[in-house]
Amino acid sequence: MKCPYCGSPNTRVIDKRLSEDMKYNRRRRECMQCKKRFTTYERVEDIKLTVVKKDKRREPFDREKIKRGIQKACEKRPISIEEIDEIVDEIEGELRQYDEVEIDSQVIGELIMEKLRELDEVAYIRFASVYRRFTDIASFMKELEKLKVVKEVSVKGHDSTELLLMVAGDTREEISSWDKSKITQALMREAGLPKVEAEIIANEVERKIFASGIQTISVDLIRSLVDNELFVRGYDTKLQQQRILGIPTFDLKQLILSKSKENSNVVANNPEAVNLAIAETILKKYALQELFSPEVANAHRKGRIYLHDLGFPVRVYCSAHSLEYIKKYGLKLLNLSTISRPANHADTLTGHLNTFLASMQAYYAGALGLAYLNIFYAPYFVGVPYKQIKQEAQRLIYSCSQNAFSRGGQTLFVDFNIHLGIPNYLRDIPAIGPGGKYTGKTYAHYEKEAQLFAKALMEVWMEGDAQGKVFPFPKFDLHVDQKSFDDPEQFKLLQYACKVASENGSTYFIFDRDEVNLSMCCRLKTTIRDTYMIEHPESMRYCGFQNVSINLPQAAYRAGKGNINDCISQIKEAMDIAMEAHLQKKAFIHKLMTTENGTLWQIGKTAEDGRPYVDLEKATYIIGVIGLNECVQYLIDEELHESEEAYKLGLRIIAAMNLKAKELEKKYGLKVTLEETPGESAPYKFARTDIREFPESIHYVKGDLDTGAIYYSNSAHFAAEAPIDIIERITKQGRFNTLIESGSITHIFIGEQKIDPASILNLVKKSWLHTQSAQIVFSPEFTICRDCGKVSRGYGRAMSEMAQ
Amino acid sequence: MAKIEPEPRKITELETTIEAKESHNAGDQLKPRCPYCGSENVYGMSRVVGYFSIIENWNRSKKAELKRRQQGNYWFDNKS
Repeated sequence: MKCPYCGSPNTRVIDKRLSEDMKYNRRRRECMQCKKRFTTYERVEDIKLTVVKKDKRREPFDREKIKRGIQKACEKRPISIEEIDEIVDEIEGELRQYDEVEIDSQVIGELIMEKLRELDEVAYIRFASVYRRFTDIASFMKELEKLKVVKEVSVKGHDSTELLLMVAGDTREEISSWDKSKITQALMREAGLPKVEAEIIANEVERKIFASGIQTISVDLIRSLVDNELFVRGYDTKLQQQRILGIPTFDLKQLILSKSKENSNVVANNPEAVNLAIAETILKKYALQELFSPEVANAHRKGRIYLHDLGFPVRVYCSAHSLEYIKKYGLKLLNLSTISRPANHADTLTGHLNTFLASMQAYYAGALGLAYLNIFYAPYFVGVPYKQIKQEAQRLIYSCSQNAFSRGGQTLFVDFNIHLGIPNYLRDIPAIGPGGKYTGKTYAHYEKEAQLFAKALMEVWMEGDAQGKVFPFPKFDLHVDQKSFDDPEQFKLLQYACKVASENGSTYFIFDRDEVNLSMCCRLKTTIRDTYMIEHPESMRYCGFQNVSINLPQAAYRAGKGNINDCISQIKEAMDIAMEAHLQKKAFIHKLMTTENGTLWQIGKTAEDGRPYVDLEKATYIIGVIGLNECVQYLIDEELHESEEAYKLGLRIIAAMNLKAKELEKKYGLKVTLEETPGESAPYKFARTDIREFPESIHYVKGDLDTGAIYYSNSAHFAAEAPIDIIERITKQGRFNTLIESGSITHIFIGEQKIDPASILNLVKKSWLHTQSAQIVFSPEFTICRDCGKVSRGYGRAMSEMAQ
Repeated sequence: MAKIEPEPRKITELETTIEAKESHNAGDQLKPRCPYCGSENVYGMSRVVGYFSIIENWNRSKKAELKRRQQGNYWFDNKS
């Protein structure tokens, strides 16, 4: 066959295809001379088709005419000649299947439109506008409107022809034509409906939409109509999959314009905080609907339990990390495209640490603790002048406190665990030094450097920021044990730590009554029993998987006044639900951690030290305690501090909870422990839900009823306003601490008072020797002036006259 | 299938207007101002739970707790 371009008879077939209906052969040929390509068809010579035009004129069917029409419509669209040829083939094939020899031009027109609609929206509209001969732009628009579904997807290209189609002129919306089959497909895919039923529903929805005469319809509205159809037909179980997890426009505006107060660590509203609030709102719904069972979700909604960090369903809760890991392996994280070798200098290590923490924060909803910080930095400070060590302390604290870019622009929630000397169990452990190399010495040799760095860090914490304000983070977790008092060097440092506490309350005094303690978060701690971790400190890490708190007052209301045993049963039942919540989230997280390159692959894959970064079988499953005081008060009409009987009842309830946790631990082979829930939002939510469901609660909630600012007392704490001696508070709350293994704290709220360091030391010593307290902290209040920039003690009441 | 109950309305996030009124009322008791220059253009800091943060950012139940903390009896200088 002659080449249509150059006339050369030398052509060759490069591709041969049989049409689907096997009625013709299609050959793609290439001219040997000019290299151009063309297509030939071989078909049975059949009856000539005749086209009947609108005005009844007849003319022979012309394939090329169809092709020209389509080509015109497809001008400047991303459609190949092959695709056009294919359509023309299909059209011709279909026409020839008709028994008629005469075909209405209208039939051909409709057929072309149908094909184009599948192929390309723009080409379709172009063709339709010509074919339907719109007399003016208005009627064209009207036709467009009728066919359109406004769909919220972003527009990729900026082709002028596309812009023409954006009737609403909204750049965030793209227009697509009404397509019933999309409903059918969605119902089959998302709700698992059989095709026949999906089609019936889609037909009904379509009928209603067209009957309404509506001109533009949103995808949301179509979804609602489909939901309605599903509901009417009794498919309510299929509804969940179909339901949109979104935010009403009004609420969204509020989120953008105001500020969430669930977490006061978000210092100022900012675009990241808006994103966080939106994500949390949607993910909370997702978690309650998809991740947790209806029983667990309803227990949370009713305030029987509180699922902490519900807005972070794809993260674990909190953690402790080891500086040794970063020292030994450098920085190698999935979200970083570059890798850093182990640091040679302390300042580089600080840089690595900051990047590591910021990256890791993405995987944890809560705190990041760092164990033995001053000890593990020590090998970098051999022979370094104190001035330089202090400089490094400043860099470390400032950079950590200002690392405010993740989770809605919050400061990293970081705890620095500081030790006054080298604990016995670390003395013989080989030390890692510059370049990630073992120095050949053990940590016992670095006690002096560790103490110098501790001192330098304390000075920075005491000085505060440029304005003299206390650093909220990194937290100063000071570990105190008998040696802190007996060893003269350690005692000097302890005295200094008391001075820091006196100045601004930074010091958290943590009493190491167990051999090895890791601290993080507001009060979480864990005891390390894995000796491998101690011998290989680079593997020393911890994961608190999730915290689920129990509403103790509600358990009491459910049991009824005076019914102590029933109340304990109610609490245990709630703990069973809490455990279910743990297991359900564990299964979900496990999937994300073990899917290669999945959401949590970073912490699920084998880490540099040959162990997975997080091991769910070894994580701690936390059950939180909220409102013990009001629970006891409802049962026997006395608050914890008001009588020995009330206090003993409190102890009995917590002991029962501790026992129940041990049972759960045994049953599931997982570590289950109690925690004194810090409770920033949970006590507020519990009080609010109880006021609605249990009217008697009105006499027990704390706070201001008239403004709705109500709450239950935190954890197993005595009422904040309880008029009892501080030693009695520490002693009595301390007795709960041994039963609440994942962490407790006793706050000493000193308002505007400045306590002198000697008195602080005295109280610390008494608490260590004569109580079982796990941790105490002095919490003063400060007022910071925006005009003169000065920081003064106290906030709002009897302001100290001697602010200086 | 268990009944799905509506999530209680989230007051925390939508409380700005009430909050404004509340702090106005509470202003009688808490009138924070700077003892150095007398300015009322100040903010507070204390431990909300286990960490320091800006008091103005606390949710209202925590602010209500702060008032109770101030009524508590945590220290006498003549003792201990």
